[in-house]
Amino acid sequence: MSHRAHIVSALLGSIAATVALAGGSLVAAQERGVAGDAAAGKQLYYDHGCYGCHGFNGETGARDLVATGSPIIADVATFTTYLRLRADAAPLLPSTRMPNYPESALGDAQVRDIYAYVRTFALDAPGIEDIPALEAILDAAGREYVP
Amino acid sequence: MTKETDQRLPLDRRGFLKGAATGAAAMVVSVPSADAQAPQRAPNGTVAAAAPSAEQLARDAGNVRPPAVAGRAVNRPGSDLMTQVLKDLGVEYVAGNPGSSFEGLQESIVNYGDPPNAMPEFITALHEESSVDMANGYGKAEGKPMCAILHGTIGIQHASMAIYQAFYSGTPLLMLAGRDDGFIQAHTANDMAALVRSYTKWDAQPTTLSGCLDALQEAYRQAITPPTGPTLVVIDMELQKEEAGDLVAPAYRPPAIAGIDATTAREIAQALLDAENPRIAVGRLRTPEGVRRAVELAELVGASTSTAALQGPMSFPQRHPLTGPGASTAYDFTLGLETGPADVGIVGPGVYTLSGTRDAMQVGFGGLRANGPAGGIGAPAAATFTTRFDVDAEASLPLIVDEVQRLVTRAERRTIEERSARHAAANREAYVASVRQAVEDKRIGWDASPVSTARIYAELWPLIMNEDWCLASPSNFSGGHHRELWEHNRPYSYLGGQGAAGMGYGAGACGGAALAAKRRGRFVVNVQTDGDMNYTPGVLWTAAHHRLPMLTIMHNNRAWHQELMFLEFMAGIRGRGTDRAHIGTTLRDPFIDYKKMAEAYGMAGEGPISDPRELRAALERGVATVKRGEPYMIDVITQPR
Repeated sequence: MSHRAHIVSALLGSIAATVALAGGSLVAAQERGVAGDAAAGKQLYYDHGCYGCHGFNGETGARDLVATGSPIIADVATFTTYLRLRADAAPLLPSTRMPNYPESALGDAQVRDIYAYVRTFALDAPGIEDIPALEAILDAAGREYVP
Repeated sequence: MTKETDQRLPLDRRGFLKGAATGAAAMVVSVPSADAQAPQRAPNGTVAAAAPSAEQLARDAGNVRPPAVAGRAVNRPGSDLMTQVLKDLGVEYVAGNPGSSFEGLQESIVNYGDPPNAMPEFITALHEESSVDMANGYGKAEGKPMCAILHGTIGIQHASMAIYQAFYSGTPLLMLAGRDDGFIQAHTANDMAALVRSYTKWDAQPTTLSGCLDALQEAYRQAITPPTGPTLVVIDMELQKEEAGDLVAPAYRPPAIAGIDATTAREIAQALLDAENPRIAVGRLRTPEGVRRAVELAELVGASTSTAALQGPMSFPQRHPLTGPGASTAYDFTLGLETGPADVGIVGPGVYTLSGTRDAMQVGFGGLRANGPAGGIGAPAAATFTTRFDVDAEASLPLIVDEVQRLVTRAERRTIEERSARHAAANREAYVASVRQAVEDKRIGWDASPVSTARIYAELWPLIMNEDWCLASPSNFSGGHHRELWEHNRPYSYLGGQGAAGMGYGAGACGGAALAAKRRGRFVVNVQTDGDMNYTPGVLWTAAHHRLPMLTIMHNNRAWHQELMFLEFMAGIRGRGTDRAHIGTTLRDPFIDYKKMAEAYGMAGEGPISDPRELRAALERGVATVKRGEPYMIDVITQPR
């Protein structure tokens, strides 16, 4: 098995294990993965430009992180494996796909810190009924067209 | 290349000056010495333009006294007639920053006519790129040309980026470039239009006054005839200054734009009437009249329609009851108007069809290659049509409408009414469902700080939904949330992208759209990306100076954010980490204060706002200010996308 295939296999295994934990065990799995320093992770999240795709709060951008159910952030092991995964995937064109992060560029301790910060993200948006602008937009959607 | 070669110029520059020289002694000041103008031969044998003389530099810097004129040499300058031609064409504005090569024409625009400086009005720009961007924004909004005026070779080169974008967009606009052979040689060329010929539709450099008047009219005709695009007339200073005598401006003849023939129109009309569930796919038409005709046809036959109004101007109203998939997607006949797929498509030529003749240097601009990988900009794939007519759809619509009105029976009218009602109900239901999903999506990150781009669009919409508004800025870098939340019902609701995806377009294009809006009681929205703003910030002064109704909301993510992501990825796949990807891609240290930038240019504004709870009140103030006829800026610190 090639190095790349090994990594893919490891990732898939990790994801499968995570998915198996879904439901009542998910919270425990999440807590097990959070071992870093979230405050340090916040600075790393900014310094390494993670906010670029995931938003400063994980709620916006091209790849938001909250409420997605992504197994990739279910535990730190899976998260680390994912960051390390695609070291030989040179792009032919500019891409906004996730960069990879070899250990030489982002050590395991730093990954744990970033992970700890990412896991602080929470979906705390108010309901539509509490947002007047969105309520107004919904109301207007039903109005008659006027040429 | 189209270039006038009329050799009937009665006098050369110096001969003219001699003949007109009632104040000859003073006028000598403006005539360069022969030595100063002698071409300089470089060591390698090439001939370089001469450096400007001290007199020339003094004149350019304004350090000369006005000539003591004993009497008027010219009573009816040629540039008055040029201005009259622009008036007759209905040109509302000429945007430019001043240049000595067109001072004759500028003087006529601001002084000739009653009232002077009206139709056209001279708009003071701070950069030629802004002048052409303004004409681009105006042309997209109105479907007709505005003028930009450029100073010699240097003005054309400043404008070149904006011309390139307008060409890609197929925007009709008219450019005038002054040429003053014999003054600063570096500002002159034998064939000045060659600088931008690859991406202009048509150009001329007339050699007589009458030829110039004809060229102005032809340039206008060419600009609005498919494939629509920017055109350029190079005007010698001598023609602007010369005595017109009893010459009169020629009457304008509108272009004859080819559409389908009557037989084809009848067949299409019959096919629409025979279909049980006809469909009309609508792309970008040329003018508001084309949109009106498309609506008329769809209503006559009860066809559900698609629209391109969420991508750019001049398409079918988004909330028209017939817009949407309709009650059934089992369409048995589809007519395509400047788009496909369709059983019968009417698709006029795009500017890509010009690349073979206009790109004389064979640069081969990627998106304009007729045989390029994408088939050229605006070139729909042939496979998307069963039958295709390569003529203008808008010019074809009146014939089809007439045929439908002639052919439709009383029984068919009842069927059409019932079908239209079914479509309207289905489309309304689908639209409300889509908005319900959209607001659920936009709710995410509502309270995030910095402010989410979705919240900007969502908070603004209720404040302007009952206004006559125009979103003139591209939205591709700010999330495009208006597409899911706003209703694009006017030909100018959204003016689309930059054209060639180049930066520096947004503020200028919005300024041009605001020029159109000012006379029509509209309200222009500019969701302005920060990277783009810093190319041509002088537009803010133009907006303040001319009292343009333009609300600018900075999408201030403090970066050229797409490039930041690209560099992160590149560093990442090379295993070098992403912690230095901000170098050269971000706008930090120091942060740029756009409120102060606006203030410096004389525009009211506020910010920076990073607390989303402050956004609504700021937008209310901005909307109120713009409704009073003044521009306003709100600097919002935003999430990256």
